[in-house]
Amino acid sequence: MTAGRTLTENELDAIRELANVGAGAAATELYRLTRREIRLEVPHARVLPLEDVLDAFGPPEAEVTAVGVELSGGLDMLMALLLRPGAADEIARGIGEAPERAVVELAERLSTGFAASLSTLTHTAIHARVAGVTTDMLGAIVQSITAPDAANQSDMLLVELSLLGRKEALRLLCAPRSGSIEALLARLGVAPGDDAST
Amino acid sequence: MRAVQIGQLQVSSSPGDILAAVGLGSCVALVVGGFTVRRQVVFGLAHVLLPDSAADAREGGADPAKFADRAVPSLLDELIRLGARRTTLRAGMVGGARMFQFGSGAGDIGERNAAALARALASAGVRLDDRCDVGGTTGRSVRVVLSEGRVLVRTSRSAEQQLFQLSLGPGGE
Repeated sequence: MTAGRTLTENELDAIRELANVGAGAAATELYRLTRREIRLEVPHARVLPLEDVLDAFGPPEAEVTAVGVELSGGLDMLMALLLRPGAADEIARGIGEAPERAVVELAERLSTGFAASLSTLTHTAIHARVAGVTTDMLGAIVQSITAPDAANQSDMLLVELSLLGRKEALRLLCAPRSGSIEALLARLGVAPGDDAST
Repeated sequence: MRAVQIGQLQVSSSPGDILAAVGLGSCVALVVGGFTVRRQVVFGLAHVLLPDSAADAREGGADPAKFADRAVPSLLDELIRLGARRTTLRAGMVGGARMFQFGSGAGDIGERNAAALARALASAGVRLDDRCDVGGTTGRSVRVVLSEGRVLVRTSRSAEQQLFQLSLGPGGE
């Protein structure tokens, strides 16, 4: 059992790099779907004390539209695609579908592209499944993807990707299962505790 | 307002205090209120994340309310330390939603949280009755207004509503 999540800077850098690859694929899918300019930000990979998780990504009562996504296989991870209010309607108009269907399609494409790119990079099968869409409080979303992996640790690894279109602000919050992400890193030759800086 | 973060608990007997847990998804806020021997209102709020501490080798630690089975005795101990009379304590629960249909045991954490809290309260002899707003698919926030002895709940789709109120009048226990 672990009291806290202990990841070295080297491991965090590797996780950011993995996230970058996944984000690039997700952005390509987003562009194919919307035909709009996509701007990617450098992913944030953070280890946060449990009590800080709720406030880390914005006001907990702020309303967001969110799609839950579950990755399994070579990487066990829960994800939430977050869209600011109104963005779902704008995307739906752009691709000519009902808002909820448009958001689910967007999430399916982004998560499938994300998973496929990591599968290729790590030579392991990673599958993505959309687990529902909701418009609700940000805190409730963040907490629901964080809780399942919190049983034996007091610090949580969360990775945040921002995909900025012309008007839409899309974020992907990723909560990799402990053990799973370390195994994936090992496949890439990043050994646990292998860090020159700490 | 005193925000109670995930895994934390707070108690108060200060009439000016408001305890709150916001953005509850599968988490459950356990609220327990009662009176001191001088009929001063005391409340406690625990922000519970998971049902069962069996997966955790550590005792207590930095997150006293992380698990339902540990949160109940911890919260009751704090309330009694603050002067609450055990026989006056009443409990309520808020949260425990299923925000997404995640598989492999991740989707029903909210329901299991609520069930574990109900069991722990029953074994501690604290009445829960129907003071519950749990389950469903919507997030919730809860506020405890000590000056009024009231517990208020809101969702992203509904205005704030009263869950329960301690009877502050004479003989109102």
